Amino acid sequence: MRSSGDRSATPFPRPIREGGWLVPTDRLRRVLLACELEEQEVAGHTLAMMPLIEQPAEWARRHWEMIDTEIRLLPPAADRLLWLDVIRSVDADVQHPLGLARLAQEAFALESEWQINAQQMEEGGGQENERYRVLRARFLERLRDGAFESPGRLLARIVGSLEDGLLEEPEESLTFFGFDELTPLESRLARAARKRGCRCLIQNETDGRPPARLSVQAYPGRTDELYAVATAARASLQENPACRIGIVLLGGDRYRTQFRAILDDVLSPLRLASCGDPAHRPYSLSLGDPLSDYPLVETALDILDCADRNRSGEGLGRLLRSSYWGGIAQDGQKRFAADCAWRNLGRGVGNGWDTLTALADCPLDFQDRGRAMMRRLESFGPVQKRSFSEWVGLWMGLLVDIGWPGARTLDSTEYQAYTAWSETIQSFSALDTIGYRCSLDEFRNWVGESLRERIFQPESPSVPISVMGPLETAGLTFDRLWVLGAEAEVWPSPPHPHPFLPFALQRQLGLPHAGSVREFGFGERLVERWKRATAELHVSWATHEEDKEHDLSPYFSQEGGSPPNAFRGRGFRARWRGCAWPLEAVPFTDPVPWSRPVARGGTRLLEDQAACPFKAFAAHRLGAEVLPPWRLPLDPRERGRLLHAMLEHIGSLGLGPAHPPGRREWAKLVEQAVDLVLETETRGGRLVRALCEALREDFIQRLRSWFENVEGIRITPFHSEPERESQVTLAGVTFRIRADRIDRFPDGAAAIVDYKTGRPPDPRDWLNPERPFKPQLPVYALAWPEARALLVASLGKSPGYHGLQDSAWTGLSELKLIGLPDWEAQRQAWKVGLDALVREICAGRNDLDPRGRGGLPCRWCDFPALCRLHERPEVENCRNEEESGESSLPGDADEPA
Amino acid sequence: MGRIRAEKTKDEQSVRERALDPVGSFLVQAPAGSGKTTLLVTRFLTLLSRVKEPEEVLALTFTRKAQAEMTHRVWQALSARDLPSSLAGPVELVRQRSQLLGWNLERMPQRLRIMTIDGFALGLIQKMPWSAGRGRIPRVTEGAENLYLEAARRVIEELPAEPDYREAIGTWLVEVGGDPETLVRSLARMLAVREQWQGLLYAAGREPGLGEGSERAGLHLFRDTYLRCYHEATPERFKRWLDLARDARIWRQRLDPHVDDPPEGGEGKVADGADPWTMDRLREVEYLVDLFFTREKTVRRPRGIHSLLGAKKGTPPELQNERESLSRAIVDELELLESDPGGIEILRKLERLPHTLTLDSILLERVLVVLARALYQLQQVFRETGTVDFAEITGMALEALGEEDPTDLALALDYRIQHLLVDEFQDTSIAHYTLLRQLMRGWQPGDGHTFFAVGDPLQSIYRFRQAEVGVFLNCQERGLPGFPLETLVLHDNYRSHPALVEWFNHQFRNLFRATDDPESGAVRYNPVRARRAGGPGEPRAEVHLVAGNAPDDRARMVVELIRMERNRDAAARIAVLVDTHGEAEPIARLLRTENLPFRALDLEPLGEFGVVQDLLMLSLALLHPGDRRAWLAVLRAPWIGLSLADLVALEEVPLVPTGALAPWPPANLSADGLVRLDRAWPVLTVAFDRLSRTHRLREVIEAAWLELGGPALYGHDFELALAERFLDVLDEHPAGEWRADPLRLPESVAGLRAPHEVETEDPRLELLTIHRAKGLEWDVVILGGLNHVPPRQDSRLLAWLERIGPGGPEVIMATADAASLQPGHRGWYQYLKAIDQEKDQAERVRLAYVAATRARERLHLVALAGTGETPKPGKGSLAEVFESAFSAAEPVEVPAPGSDPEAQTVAVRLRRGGDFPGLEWPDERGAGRVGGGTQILGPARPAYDWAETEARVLGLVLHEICARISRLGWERSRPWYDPDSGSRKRWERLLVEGGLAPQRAQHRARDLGLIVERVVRDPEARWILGPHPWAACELALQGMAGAERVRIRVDRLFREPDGTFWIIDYKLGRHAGGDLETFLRSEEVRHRPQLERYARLLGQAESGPLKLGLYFLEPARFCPLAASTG
Ligand code: SF4
Repeated sequence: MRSSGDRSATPFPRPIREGGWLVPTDRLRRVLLACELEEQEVAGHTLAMMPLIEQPAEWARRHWEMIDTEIRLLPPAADRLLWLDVIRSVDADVQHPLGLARLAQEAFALESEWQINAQQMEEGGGQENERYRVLRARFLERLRDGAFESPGRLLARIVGSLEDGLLEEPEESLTFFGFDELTPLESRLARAARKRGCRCLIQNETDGRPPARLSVQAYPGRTDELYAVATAARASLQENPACRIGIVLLGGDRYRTQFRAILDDVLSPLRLASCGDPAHRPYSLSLGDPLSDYPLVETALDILDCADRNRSGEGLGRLLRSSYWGGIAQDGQKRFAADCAWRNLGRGVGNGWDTLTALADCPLDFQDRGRAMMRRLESFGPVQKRSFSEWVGLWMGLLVDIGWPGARTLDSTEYQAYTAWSETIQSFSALDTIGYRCSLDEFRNWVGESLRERIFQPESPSVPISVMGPLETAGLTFDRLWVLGAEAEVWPSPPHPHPFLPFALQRQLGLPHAGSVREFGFGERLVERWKRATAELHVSWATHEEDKEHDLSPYFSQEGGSPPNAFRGRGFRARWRGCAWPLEAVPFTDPVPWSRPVARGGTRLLEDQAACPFKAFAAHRLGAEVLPPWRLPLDPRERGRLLHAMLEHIGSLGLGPAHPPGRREWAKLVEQAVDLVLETETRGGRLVRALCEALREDFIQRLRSWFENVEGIRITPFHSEPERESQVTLAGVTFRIRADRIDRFPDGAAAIVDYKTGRPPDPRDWLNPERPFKPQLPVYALAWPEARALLVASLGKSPGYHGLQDSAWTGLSELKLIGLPDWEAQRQAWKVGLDALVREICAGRNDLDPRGRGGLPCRWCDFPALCRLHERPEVENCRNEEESGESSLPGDADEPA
Repeated sequence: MGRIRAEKTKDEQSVRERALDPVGSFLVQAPAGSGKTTLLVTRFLTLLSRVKEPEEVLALTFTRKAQAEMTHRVWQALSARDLPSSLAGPVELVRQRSQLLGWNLERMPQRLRIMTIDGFALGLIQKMPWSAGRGRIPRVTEGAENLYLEAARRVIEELPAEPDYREAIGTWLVEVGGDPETLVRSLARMLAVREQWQGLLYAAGREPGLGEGSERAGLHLFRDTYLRCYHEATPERFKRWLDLARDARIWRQRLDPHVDDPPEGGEGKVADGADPWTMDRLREVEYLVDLFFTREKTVRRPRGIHSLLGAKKGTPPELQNERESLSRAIVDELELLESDPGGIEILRKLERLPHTLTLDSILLERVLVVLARALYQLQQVFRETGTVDFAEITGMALEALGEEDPTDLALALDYRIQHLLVDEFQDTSIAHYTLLRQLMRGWQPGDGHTFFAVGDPLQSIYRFRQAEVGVFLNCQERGLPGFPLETLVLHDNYRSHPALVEWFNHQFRNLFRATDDPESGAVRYNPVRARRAGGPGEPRAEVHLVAGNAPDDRARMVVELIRMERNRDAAARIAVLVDTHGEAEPIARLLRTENLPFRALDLEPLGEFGVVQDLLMLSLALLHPGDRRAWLAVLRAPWIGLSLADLVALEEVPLVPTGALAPWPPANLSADGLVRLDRAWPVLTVAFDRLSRTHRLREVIEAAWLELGGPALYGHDFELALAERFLDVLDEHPAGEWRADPLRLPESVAGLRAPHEVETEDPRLELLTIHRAKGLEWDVVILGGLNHVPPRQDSRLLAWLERIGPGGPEVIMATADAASLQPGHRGWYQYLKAIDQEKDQAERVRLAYVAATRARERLHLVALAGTGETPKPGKGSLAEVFESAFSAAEPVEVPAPGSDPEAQTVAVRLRRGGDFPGLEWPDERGAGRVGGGTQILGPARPAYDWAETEARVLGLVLHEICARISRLGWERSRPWYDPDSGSRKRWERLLVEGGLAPQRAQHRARDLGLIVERVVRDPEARWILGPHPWAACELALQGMAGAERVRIRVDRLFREPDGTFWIIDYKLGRHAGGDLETFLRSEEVRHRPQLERYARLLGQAESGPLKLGLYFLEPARFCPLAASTG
C-alpha cells in the first residue's frame, strides 16, 4: 500500500537512477540507495527523492495494488499458513509441517518463475513430487474458494496483466540491474514491458570492464587463510581508507563465525573493549542471526511460555533473571538468589509460577507482575484453539503485565530488534485472513519458527568491507575482492534440486541448484563476473582442514604450484599477549587466620579441611557457592532424608531385641512407616509424588532388608534415642553436632549411629593417623564419652553396620565391627588429630593438599579453577593417576543420609 | 547364497585383477598395508569408464577423511599426466568416455559420487524430506549427549499416570539404586545406542506383545549357533560327540533314575516357532554340556571321567565292560580336545547357550515401555532443537526409502545406482547394512549391477559407534541375500619392514581366534606376506616395561624413546599412540616441558587447561552471578589477582555486577585489593550489562578478558588457540541456551579436546589415540599408553544383541531378574552379557592389531609394570593383550628429574598500577568513513500500543485512500471513497490484504465508510487532499542530516500559491472515550518531535515558509502545529 510521490515540479532533486529499477538482492538495493545518496551529495543535494529500486517481488506487489480486482492477495505469512493448513489436512503426522509448508511455498514460486506447466510437473516426478501435487491441488482449491491470490505467483499474474494491457501505470523505463541470469518469468516481464513501450534495460556494473589481476594462494589450514585475508584487508584499508573491499565466503556457513571472530581480532579489537562501541565494526557480514536469538525477543518468548501456567522450566528461571522487565539494577541480587533456590528445587517440581513466586528470595516486584499475568490468564479462559489475533492479544497483554521490555534504555541494536520483532508480530495479524485456529502449542511453534526464520541484522553504518556469500555479490563492484575457501568440494557448489519438483525437469530447465552441469556453468559465470567486478581478485583455499585434504576448485589453478603459505602473523590477541605486561610473583596461597571459625554444617568443615585445606577454605571461609545444577528432584540427599525419617518413625515405636517383632509384623510396620513419611514429608508437586510412588517399593525393600537382616540379628537389648544433639570443643572452638541415633544399653554404654545410603565407609578413613578423613565418628566419640561403639548404618545395596567398638565391651559382639583394644587411647589420638585440624583452620591454612584415597578430593571438588590446580602439576598428578584407572583403591560416592 | 573364495595360493596380483572385473561383485578382505585404497580407486575408475552417467557409480566411506582422500585420489588421477601403469589404463578410458559423453569430469568433481554413508543418507532425506517423516532438514550433531539427557529427563519429568508405566519406571529406578538422575543417565546411554535395539519396538508395532520379536530372534540365534558349531566341528565329529553324549546320558540314567531329560523347550512356555527340531537340538546341547563340562563349567579332564560315569568300583559287574568301552571312547575324545583349542572353543559356544528359549517377557515389556517413551521424548527434543544425531539420519533415510520400488528409488535419488562400492566395510553398523540393502533392492544377479566392499575385519574398532564386524563376517560367509558375492582375500603387506611383519604374524596368530564367529565378533587371523625389501637386522619391535605405576614415568620413557629414534633418524616420522585421552595427558605435558614440538588432534581435554578454566569461570560469573565460586575464581585469576585475604574481605559483599559494589570499600580489603577491584569491577559491570543485551556471548566474554589483560598471563601461543576454541564453543549455541542453564557450558566443554592446528605444529611427531590413527602410518610407532582398563558395563538390567538373522536384522533383548543373576544360571541374560563381553575382548585385540600395524620401520610398546609382588596388567588393558610380548621383559626404573620447590609456592599475577600497555591498535579506517549510519526516524523509544493491529490496518487503508484521492483527483478517485461506486469492496480487499479475516474486513469496512464519509465532507481534508501548485503524497526522500543518513516518507506535502510549504502527517486519531480535545493535544505533543525533524530536513531543500500539521482521520480534524523549523 505504497504510492510513489508526485514527481512533477518537485522542489526536491529527482533521483539519478530514474524509472523503475529491478535488482536481484536486497544487498544490491541497499548499495544502490547508498550510491545514489553519495552521488546526490556530490551533486550538492542534501535531500533528494528516493529512486525506485526494488526486487521483482516488491515491484509486483506495488503493481498489484494498482489492479482493480476482487481477488485478495494473501500476505506471505498467511500464504504459508494456508499451505500449513493444507498439509495438515493431508498428513497429520508429519513432524515439521512448517518446514514442509516452506518447501511447498518455494516450489510453488519456482513453478511460476520457471513457467513450469502442469503436464511437465507430472512427468518423471518421484514420491515427493506426487505428494506435492496433491497438496498443490488442494491449495489452489482453497485459493479459489477464498478468492485469494498467492504471493508465489504474483509476479506471473502482474506480467500477465501487463501483457494484456491491464496495468494502469507501467514505468517509463525498467532497468534490470545486476542479474546473473533472468528467470523465464523475468525475461517475459522484460519482453512485455518493451511491448508496452517501456524502455527496458538489462545492465550489470561489470559490463565492459577489463578482467582483474588474479592471484591464487593456498594455505595449509583454514585459520591461516582467514587470518591472512583479514590482515591483507586491513593493510588495504590502511593504505587507502576509501578502498571498497569485498570478501566472498564460499561453502556456506562452514567458517562464518570463525571468520567473524578473526575479523574482530584483526580489524576492530577496540570495539570489543568496554570503551568501544560493539555496534560499529568496519565490516559487514552478510545475513545476520535469527531474531529469536536476541535476548530481548528471547524474553518475550519466555513470557509467552508463561501462558502455559503449569510450565516449570529453565525458561522461567531465565525470565526471572532477564533484564527486560523491571529494574535489574535494583533487585538483581534477589533475582539470582531466587533462581538458585528455584534450581535447587529441581526440574518438574509443581506449578512453575506458584512455586517460583512462593520462594522466599523471589523479588516482590516479580510476584506482583506474576499475579497480574495470572489474573489475565484466568480471565482469558481455557487454553483451547483460538485465532492468531487472540493469541497475539494474550501475548501482548502478558508483555504489558510484566513490563517488557523493562526500564533500561534500549540501545540501537535492541531498538532495531524490537522493531523487527514488532513487524513480525504484526504480520501475524494477517493470519486471521484464512480463519485458521490453533492451540497454544501450535501458536508457540509458529511464533518460534517465524522469529527463528526472521534473520535480523541491525542496520550498520556504511562500512568499507563487505563479507558475503557468492550470490550476494550480484551487481556489486569492489576495489579489491577476496574469494575464500575455493575448494573443489564446495565450488562449484554441489547440486541440491528442489525435492518437490521433478529432478530431470529441473535439470532440463536449468533451475538453480538443479544439477552439477548447471552449477558448474553458473559458478563459471560468477567467477568471470568477479574478475570484472574488481581491480584485484585474490582467491585462496586451505589445503587441509582437520584431518581432511582439500583440492583447489576447478576454476582456478595454483600458479607455479606454490606451496601452502603458513600465515604466521596473528591479530590483536597475540600482540596483546606479547606486550610487556608488568607481572609479579606472589605466594601461591597465603594463610588467612580465622579467629573465630563458624562451624556451619557440623563436622563438614573438619571433613573438608582433612580432605584439602583449600577446599575447606573455599567452601566455609569464602562461601564459594556453586550454581545448583538443574536436575530432577529426589536426589540422594533427599532420598536419604526420607529414609531417615522412616527409620526414625520405626525407631520411635521402641521396638528392638527386647520386643522383637515377627517377620510379618516388620513388613507391616515398614510399609506403614514408608507410606506415612511419603504422605507427610515429601516436598514438591506432582512429579515428586509420582517418583515417590515409583520408589515406594524400593524404600520398603531397603527397610525390610535392614530390619530383617541387620537389626533382626541384634541380640543385646538396647533402647534407641533418635536425633540427639551435643557439642564438642576442639582447640578452643565449639562444634555443635547431632547424631542420627543413640542406642543405649543396660550397662550404661552407648552406641552412636550415623545413617548412610551410599557405599559403606572405609575404616582407614577413621583410623588414619595423619588426618581423620571422616571425622564424624571420632567427633561423636569425643562428644559422648559413654559411647563404646561408633556405627555407620549402611542402607545402601548391601545393608549392614560398619564401625568401631571398644574391644573390651561386648554389647555388640553380634556385629562385625573393628575392635579397638585401647578405646581411651584412640579417643585421645582422635582428640589430638582433630585439635590439630582445628588449629590449622584457625591459622587459616589454605594450601592445596588433597588427601585421602589418592586424588579423590579433587575429582569431586567444585573448586579446581578457584584453587588454580592447573598451576600445580605436582598436585594434579595424583588426580591423573586415579583417573587412568591405575590405582587399586575403589572409588567412593559418599551420600550423606 | 554360495560364495566363491579366491584360493590362497593364487598369485596376489591375479586376485587384485579379479577385483577389478567390472561385472563381478566382491567382498575383499584387505589387511593393513595391503594397498586397499588404490584398489578401490582403480575399481571406481574402471566402473566409471563403463557407465552412462558418472553418478551411476556410488562409493561410500565411513569417515569424511576417507571420503576426502578417495575423492582427492580419483580427481588427481583424472587430472594427472604421469600415472602408474595400474591406473593409466582405466583413467584413459574414463577420459575418453568423459569426452564422448560430455561429462567434463576433469573440471566437475561434483559429479563423482564419493560420499560418506552419513552424507549420503543426509542427501537422501534432503531429497525426500516428506517421506523421511520430517519437513525440515535438521542440523546433524556428532555430540548429541545433551539431547539424550534432555529426552531421558523428560521421560521422568513427564511421568504419566498409567500404573503400568509407573511400575516400569519404578522397576528401573530400583535397579539404579533409586536415583532419578542415575536412571536418566542410564536411559540416555540407551538412547545413544538405540540403533541397536529400537528395531524391537518397531517390530512390536506390528505384533502383539513387545517381547515376542526378541524371543523369535533368540530362537534364530540358537539355531544358527548350533549349526555353526555343527559345521565347524565337522558333521562326523559332531555326531560322534552327540553319540557319546547320548550314551553317557543313558548310562547315567541307568545308574541313577533321577537324571532327567531336560524339559521340552526349556523352562516355561515354548517360544513361538520352537519346532520339534529345535527342541531336540536344545536337548542335545544339554547332553553335550553334561558330557564335556563339569559342574563348575570347566572342560572335563580325561581323569575326571568317573565324576560323569560314576566310580568304577560302584558299577555292577555286568556293566563293567560297557562302562569300560564308553569310558575309553569318552577319554579318547577328551584327550583329543586337550590339544585342540578349536574344538574347545566350539564346545564353549554350546555350553554358553541358554538352556531355555523363553525370555522374561513381563519385565522385558516393562522395560520396553520405558524405552518407547524415551524414544518418543527424543523425537520431541529433536523436533524442538532442530538437531538430530547421525543414527537419526540413517533412520530417516530408511524411512524415506520405505518400500519404494527400484524405479521410484532412482527417481528419488535423481540417478540410478549401477555400482555400489563400500570402503571400510568392517565398520558397517547393522543400520547402515540395512540401508545398503535397501539401495540394492531389486538388483538381480547378472543384471549389470555390482557391489564391491573392501575392508579388514581385523581392523574393526568402532564398536562404540555401533560398527558390527559380524556384518562383514556374515557377508563373507553367506554373501548378500539374493546377490552372489565373491570373497577375495589379500595377504600382501606393502607397508611394514619384513621383520615387523614377521612379528605381527607371530603375535597376532595366537591372539585372534581360530575361526570367525559373526555373533561374538571373533575374527580369524590370516598371516600376511611382507612385500617390502628389508633384510634381517636388529629387532624392529621392542617392549619396554616401566617399573611402578606412575604415568609420569611412562611418559619419561616415551620421551626417551623419541630422543633415541631422533638420534637414529632425524627425519623419521614418529607417532605416539595411546589407548585413551587420559593416557596422553602426561605425555603431552612432558613433551611441552621438554620443548619437543608435536602435533596432536583432539586429544587433551580442553577444560583441563588453566586458560580455559579461567574463561569458563568468567563466563559463568557473568551468565549467573549466583555462582559465587565463579566470581571468586575470576577475582583470583592472575589478570585481576586479588589475594585470598582480599577474597575473605569480600565475604559479605554480594558479587552482582549491576552497579557499584556495596558496601564499598569492604572492611579489611587491602589497598592493593582496592586498586585491583577498582580497575576490574567497571569492566565486569559493562560486560554484564552487554551480556544481558546481546546474543553473542563470545564478544562480551572476549572483550572483558582482553581488557583485563587475560592473554598476558599464559605462556604459549598454543594457549591462545585454546582460548579461541573455548570462545568458539560460546558461538556454537545461541546465547539463550547458555543463559537458560549456564551449567551447560562446563558440560559442553567437558566433552571437547584441545585443538592443535595442523599447520602450526611439527608433523614429524604426533600424539594421538589408536582410533584416530586408523588408516595412517608412521616410520616409528610408540605405543605409549597400554595400561588403560576399560570401565565395566554399568547396565545390570538389560542385555541385548543385534544381529543379522534369516530375515534381516533382528534384536534379542533380555532382562535380569533375581533368578538370572544366580551363579550358574544359563538364561538369555547371561548369554547375551557373555557375548557382549566377548565382543569387547575381541575388539581389544583388534585395537592392538591396528595400533601395531601402523609402524613402517620400528615399533615400541611401553607399559607400566604395576605394583605389588606379582603385578598383572589390568583386566582388558592392551598391556594384557600383549602380555606374552611383555612376559620376558624386566621392569626398568625411569629416574624422575628434580623439581624446583620454589616454583611450587609462587604464583604470577599482573602487577598493580597504571603501567599496563594501552589498548593500541592503529585504526584501519579512513577518516570520514566512521559513523554515518542510516537512521530510520521513529519514536525515540518504542511506542507500546499493541492491541491496535486492526487500527493499524485501518490506518494503512485510509492512507491509501487519501493517496488515491490526492493522486487521481476527486473525480477519478471516486471508486475509492464512494460506497455507491463500489469502494467498499475495494476497502475490504485492502483490509484482507493487510491481514484481517474476511468477516472482520466486512465489519471494518463499515467503520471505514463512516470515517471516509466524514473526511470527504471535511473542508479541511478537501483542501489538504485537493490540488495545489505542487503536491506529493507518500513521498520517499533520503539525504544527510549532519553525519547521519536519513530516510523519510511523508504522507502529504504541498505548496500553496503563496509559497507556504505544508508538511502533513495523517494519524488515525482513534481515542477510547474521554475528552477529544485533550486527546488531540496529547497527540500533538507526542508527534511534534517527529514532524519537527521532518521540517528541519525538508527546510534544507525548501526556501519558502514551512508549516506542519497533523490530520486526524477518525474525528476528521486538522491540527496545524506552530512551526519551529530551527
Ligand atoms: S581441586 Fe583438589 S586441590 Fe583444589 S581445592 Fe579441590 S581438593 Fe583441593
